[in-house]
Amino acid sequence: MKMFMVKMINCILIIMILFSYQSYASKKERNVLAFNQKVKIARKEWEKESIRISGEQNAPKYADGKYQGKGIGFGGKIVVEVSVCNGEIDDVEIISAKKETPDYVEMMNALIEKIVDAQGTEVDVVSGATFSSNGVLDAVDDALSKAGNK
Amino acid sequence: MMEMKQKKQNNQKSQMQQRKQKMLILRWARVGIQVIFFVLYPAVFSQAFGAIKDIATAIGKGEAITWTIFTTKLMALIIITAVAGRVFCGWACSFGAIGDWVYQIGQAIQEKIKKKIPKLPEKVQMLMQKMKYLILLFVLLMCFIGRGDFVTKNSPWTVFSLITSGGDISEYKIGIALMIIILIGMVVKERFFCQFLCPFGAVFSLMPHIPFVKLKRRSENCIPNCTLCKRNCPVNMKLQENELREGECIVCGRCKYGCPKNNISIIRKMISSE
Repeated sequence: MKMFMVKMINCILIIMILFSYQSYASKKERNVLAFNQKVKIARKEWEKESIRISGEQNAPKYADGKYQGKGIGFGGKIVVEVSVCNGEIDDVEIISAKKETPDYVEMMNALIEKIVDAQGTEVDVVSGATFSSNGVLDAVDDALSKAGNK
Repeated sequence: MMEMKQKKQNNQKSQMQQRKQKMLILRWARVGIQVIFFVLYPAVFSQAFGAIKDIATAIGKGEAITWTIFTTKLMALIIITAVAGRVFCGWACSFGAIGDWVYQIGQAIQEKIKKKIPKLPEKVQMLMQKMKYLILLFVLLMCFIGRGDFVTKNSPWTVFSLITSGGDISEYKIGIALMIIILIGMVVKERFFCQFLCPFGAVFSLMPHIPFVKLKRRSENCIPNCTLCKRNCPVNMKLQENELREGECIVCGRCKYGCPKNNISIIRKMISSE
């Protein structure tokens, strides 16, 4: 019974620490997000200004359109379709991932959000789904290589 | 007088046979359930543990923890274990199942060739059971400092999940080597990985087990110095003997059905007040 109490107290302590950490971290994250948003807007303004001044437009990184790419996930091929709109990655869709179970496909949606946010594939993989993540990232890279402006 | 003795002996014999039969049924019931879970959910253990790694990684980076489907699975396993003990370990985990099967095949071969691998001394076994806590600490630390990928790259679990999903394992040399060592260990000692190495098992055994459903031994009824339940136990434990090691129990139920005095029963403490 003594052991049980000790374990219980430890368990409650860990839960409390995790919860307080979470509330602190999510608050911080919200602040960072708001800040990044401001930076993004400022940057767009600045780009517009520089175009207006110099009179020439920088070619966007990617040409608009839809591109398919392939990667190897968990023992199988993953095919994705990247939509580029206004020179930006607009959406990534998983076309086929036969070997990936539905759970993993769901996890990949979180990864796709990260890719769209970061406008590239330099994002953290989803742990526990490293293979699927890398497969999707490879596939997106493959697709973007076709979308690049030469 | 002789007749009485004969009768008593016969009675004892039939009781032993009954016990043996019960143990056999228990064993095959467990194999059956393990096979079902192996086919349906071979990756639950690594997914749920992945959620723990995720949490450590997020804290290491100072980021908020994200809730994923793996976290849901982790929560489910934690709740089940808190209420009913490590039934997941004993009856549903695919890695544990592999261990059981490999061990049973090993036993069958040993019986055929009439040679036995010597038993692990109790002290060594107890000491080795502590190793899993170090492994858990190591994995969490690696994730915390942002090197979780090192663990994934060299983990035997990666090799295992690649095999179960038909992937290519040729790149994971260290993982393969560890997997082979573990497989050998599984032949030598039952539940080798689970009790000595499994970091998830370490988490489970550190968790409080709310005595809602629990195996309990009535020690006052025991034959003095009898260690049958301990010898039958994969993790070498006598219930209610050492509270510290209570977390090792994987609820295989062999102590219950192996006991000649029927001393071990499943109690529902919360319902029937003792």
